[in-house]
Amino acid sequence: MAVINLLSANFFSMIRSKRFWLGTFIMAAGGVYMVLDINRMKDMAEFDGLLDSGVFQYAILLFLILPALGSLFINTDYNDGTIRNKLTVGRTRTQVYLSNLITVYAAGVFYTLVYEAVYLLVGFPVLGSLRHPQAALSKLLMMLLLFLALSALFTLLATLITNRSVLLICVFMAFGLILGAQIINAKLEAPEMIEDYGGVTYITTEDGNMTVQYMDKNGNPIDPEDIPRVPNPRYVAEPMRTVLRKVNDIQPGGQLAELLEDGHLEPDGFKTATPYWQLALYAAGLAAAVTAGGLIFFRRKDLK
Amino acid sequence: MEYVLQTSALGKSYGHFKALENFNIAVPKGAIYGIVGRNGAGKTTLLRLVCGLQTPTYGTYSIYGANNGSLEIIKARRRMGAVVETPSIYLDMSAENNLRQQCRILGLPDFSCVPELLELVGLESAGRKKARNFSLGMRQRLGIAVALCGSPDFLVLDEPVNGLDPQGIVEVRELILKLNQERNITVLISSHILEEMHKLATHYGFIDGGRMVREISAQELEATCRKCVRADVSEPKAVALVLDEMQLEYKILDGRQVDIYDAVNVSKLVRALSERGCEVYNIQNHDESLESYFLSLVGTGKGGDGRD
Repeated sequence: MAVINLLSANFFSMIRSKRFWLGTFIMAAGGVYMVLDINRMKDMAEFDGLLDSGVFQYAILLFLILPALGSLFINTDYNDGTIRNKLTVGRTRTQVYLSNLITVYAAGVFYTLVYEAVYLLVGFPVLGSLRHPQAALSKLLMMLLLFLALSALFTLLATLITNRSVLLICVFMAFGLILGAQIINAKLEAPEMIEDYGGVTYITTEDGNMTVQYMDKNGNPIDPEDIPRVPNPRYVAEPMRTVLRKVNDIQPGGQLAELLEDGHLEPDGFKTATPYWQLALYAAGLAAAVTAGGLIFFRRKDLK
Repeated sequence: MEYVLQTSALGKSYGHFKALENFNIAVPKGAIYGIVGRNGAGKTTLLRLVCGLQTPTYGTYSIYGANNGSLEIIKARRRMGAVVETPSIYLDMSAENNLRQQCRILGLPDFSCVPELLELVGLESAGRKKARNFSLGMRQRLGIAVALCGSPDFLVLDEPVNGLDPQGIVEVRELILKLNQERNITVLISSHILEEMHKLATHYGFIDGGRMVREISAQELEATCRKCVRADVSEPKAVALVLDEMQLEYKILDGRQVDIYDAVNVSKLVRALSERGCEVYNIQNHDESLESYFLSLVGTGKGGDGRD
């Protein structure tokens, strides 16, 4: 009951916030923009369902907006000192923490709905209907779990860091997660073996043209298809390979890349996708672990 | 006597710095309890602990008999309201919405108390104005109104008149007295402005260096600081005889000093003492102020130790 009371107060604060409505406007505008962009690109590229292709493009935007909005929302309680009004009258720290997490996550769900509503309403007459509605729905649910994990992460930061710099820290964290996922994916794509181009010789012919000659170790010319293969120094071997794959499967930035790209490239050049159930488990686990850690720290934190 | 707040050897350290050390206090029900101490004496630290903003390093406290480690403390806190340090108000909300917000936090069924509270703190005409545009005094009063949501029995106020203009000080003082007298709210106030505290408090706790130096009721303090005529004499026994004959209230302090509390005709007194062979070396009005009493307790060392 106490959490419901706190949520009621939080939601009132949230809907009165200009930042919240600015975010809503950005998400709605993003929906319109995406329809126009796909419509413009439809003759230049091949799409597996025009409308399907933009359903989840909001996620990158929300990945950056939500930490900014959420961290400022939580920080206002410290900045205005109003967290004291909650604790002094017997609301526990667990209740305050959980109500903040639920509030910022609810804002994320609301933004998702705003984008989807605008995108589908505007997109349907322009781009046609969804080709894979069931797949879109399951991916949407997975996205929502991903944002729960992200919300848990910045709720932890915004609860423990009481000054306004938390805004920058949370936005940098979001950027870092996205960038980190890209770097890890690029590393894991590197093939195990590569052609040894050490034996390639450039020869200038009598008529002045350049030609390429492939040699083996002994200096004998060989066919280009028989170029020897050597281990790629950039290849990530086990056990680091498994560790990095897991990091990307678990961290929200990696999950975002996995969902938006429908999987990740393996060294053989083929795409593999981590199953949704596995991603869902990781997202829920991360959200639970981070929240548990946040509660432990918050309970011990001295407030002013 | 029933106590609203009691502490037992309460301590709070920040690293190696001891902000409170074996601190004991007992706030009686219905009192206006003034915690008096220099800046940095540990007043705010105590209030932060009592309000649950920080946890004690050692020792315990109880509110309405509920120990800080027990689950009952949550229920006990619902009978509390507090303004610790700056008023805790949403600056981008109106006074009315700030109060409604607190009603929501408390889970009150409606907002019917809001107009009454605004009137109580004298903000009825500024209810729709954003708190950001309030003066310091108005913010302070709004902070008190927020603390009064849910009709608490125990109000904790940290330096409530700090930074207020003279009119603001009078308004806040009258409000506190009204709450105590009309609503029987027990008030715990911290302040380093002794004069102001003197006009409010029914009980005092003098704190220095993170320790409670003395707890005293206003009556006891009044007696200690009572106006009198202090005479330095050669024969205190003779003085006692003379003053008994003259039916004057007095107190012999030591071998040479007597405090006389009633109005006295000095010429008659000196003559009567002279007749009994007692010399009067010095005679003067004596009025120990709260300030001098405080200084006599805590010494005259300048500044605190940064405990607030």
